[in-house]
Amino acid sequence: MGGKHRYLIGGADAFVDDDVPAFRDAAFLALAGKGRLDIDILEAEQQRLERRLHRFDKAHDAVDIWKELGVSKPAEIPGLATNDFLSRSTDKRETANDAR
Amino acid sequence: MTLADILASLFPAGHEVAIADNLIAGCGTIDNTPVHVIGIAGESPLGCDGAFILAGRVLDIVRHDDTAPILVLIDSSSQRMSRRDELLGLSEYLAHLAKTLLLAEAQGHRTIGLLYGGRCRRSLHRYSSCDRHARSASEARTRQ
Repeated sequence: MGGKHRYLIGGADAFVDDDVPAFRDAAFLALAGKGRLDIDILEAEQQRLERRLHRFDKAHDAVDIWKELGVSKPAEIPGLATNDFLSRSTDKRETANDAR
Repeated sequence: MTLADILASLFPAGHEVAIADNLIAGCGTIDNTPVHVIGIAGESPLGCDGAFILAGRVLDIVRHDDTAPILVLIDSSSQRMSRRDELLGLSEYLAHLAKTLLLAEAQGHRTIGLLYGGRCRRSLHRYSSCDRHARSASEARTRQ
């Protein structure tokens, strides 16, 4: 559940099956990305993290946050298989695309 | 030493360092060299909110057109382990704070960390206990 939550709030860039080949493929993709360390990207990250603090400040648990994100039937998330989870979450999740 | 003692001895000519909600921010001068100061006080844990505020201060420093060193004063009981911090992704806030300090360093701001306070004293005590155990074990092996 922790991994799914992080994927939904933009803490994780990918969510894959719990096996080594899937992890390996995701790691290759992640390593190919061009991370930046400059004032503009860190300003963007500062704003992204501020938005998160404001948006989810009152949440009591993860389901509250998933509901706020607009995920349908959020209580089902922990039990979903990977593909079902991804199809339900991809359009609703927060990302870090312009902030890393 | 208290934080006030540390600030007074580092900046005998005075300083503009303030503490709010156990977060330290400001500046002082050492031998005519301006020094930015940030940190965490009161043996308090560092959570999302504090890490976010400290990162913002480092970004303010980076935007300054200077290369003044940054003194990071730390009297913390480690990261805050609350449900809220876990839900909001504390690891990202801490990583972001680390990145801002890396950027500041890359921009020419030498960064110096100073651990002080209660946890620091207890850590030093544990280290000296471990050292005695290590010496005893080494002596026992030598006698065999």
